Amino acid sequence: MNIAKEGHEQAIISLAPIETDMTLQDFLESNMKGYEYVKGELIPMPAASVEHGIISARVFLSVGLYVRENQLGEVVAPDTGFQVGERVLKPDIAFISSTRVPDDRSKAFPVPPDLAVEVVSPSDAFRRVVEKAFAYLEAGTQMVWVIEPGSKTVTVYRSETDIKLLTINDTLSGADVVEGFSCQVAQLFE
Amino acid sequence: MDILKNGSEQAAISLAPIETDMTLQEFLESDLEGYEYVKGKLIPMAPPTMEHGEISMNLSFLLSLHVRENQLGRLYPADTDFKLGDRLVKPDIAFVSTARLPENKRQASPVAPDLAVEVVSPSDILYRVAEKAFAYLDAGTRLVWVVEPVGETVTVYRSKTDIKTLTSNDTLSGEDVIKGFTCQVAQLFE
Repeated sequence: MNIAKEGHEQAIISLAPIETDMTLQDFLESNMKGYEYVKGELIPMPAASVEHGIISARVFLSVGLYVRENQLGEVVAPDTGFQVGERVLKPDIAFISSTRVPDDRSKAFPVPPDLAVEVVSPSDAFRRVVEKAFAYLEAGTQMVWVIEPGSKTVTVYRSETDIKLLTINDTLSGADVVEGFSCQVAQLFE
Repeated sequence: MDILKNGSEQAAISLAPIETDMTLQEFLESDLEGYEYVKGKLIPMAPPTMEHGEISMNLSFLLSLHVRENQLGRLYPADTDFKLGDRLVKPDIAFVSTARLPENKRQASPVAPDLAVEVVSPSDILYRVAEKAFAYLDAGTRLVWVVEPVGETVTVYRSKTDIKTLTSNDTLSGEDVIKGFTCQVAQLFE
């Protein structure tokens, strides 16, 4: 009876945070892809699964169309960097209202988005997801959606004590951030 | 400028699931410690931190006062084995009501607990935590509390579409599972 089969550790290893001497500024000016930056650590971003890609695209399309039609601001695709306090984060989808879009569009956003959306990957540590949501809020993001495909839930963070968990029976609302937007949670996972 | 410092990968390696040829029965009869068993995989349990211990103790203390006084059933500490379908899990705290207690107690519990409590560890993967909560519900557990120390929240699972997240301003209730029990969420993190 073999206790261990081989090869399973590989995936996790490559996703461990990597300590670095780069400063936030160095990171912003570098052309490194595939990482977020958190206080002296490079956080590798997991490869997107089919599930992750499909759900992200659904949110991107529905929020994106709504925002364009109503000229509320800009919705940006994954890999766009935002300076969020001492971090550089790359939300899966983000919305930034017209008045807050910076004039210089050649670099990462120097400000956090108004809405940040994170689709949870199978390797994401619970603690890091919560820390990230709180980091957005602390830096001024008004609303964070954490979409968890396994349990088909969306957790809506408005502040450290205003956190609501929605299931497939609920409606996801843009509240006062993406005003007038709503969709069924079930639509994201169908 | 060094991009890589050494050593930060080590911690993650040991917590990756390990595929095994052991059956659930073989696992039960083995003396392997520090693992849960999920369908052909050994799931290493995160090493208990001080924070984890403090929260478990806070909640155990409050629960045990109430359960003893009202003779509602039995509480079990971490490391007690519970069979859940084709898994073997070790909830951080478990409650089994008097009526459901098995006669033979010199074995892993053949019944799912009525209440299962999981305190999230720094290395716990969000996907796996949500999946485990659903596995409890599937096996007949009526109430699951997932306590998350970074956000100081408790997520309460009653069914796959009845899930609520409580924050430090809220009251945690035993509902119809531990009748009459309430405490402030904030008390768990004191």
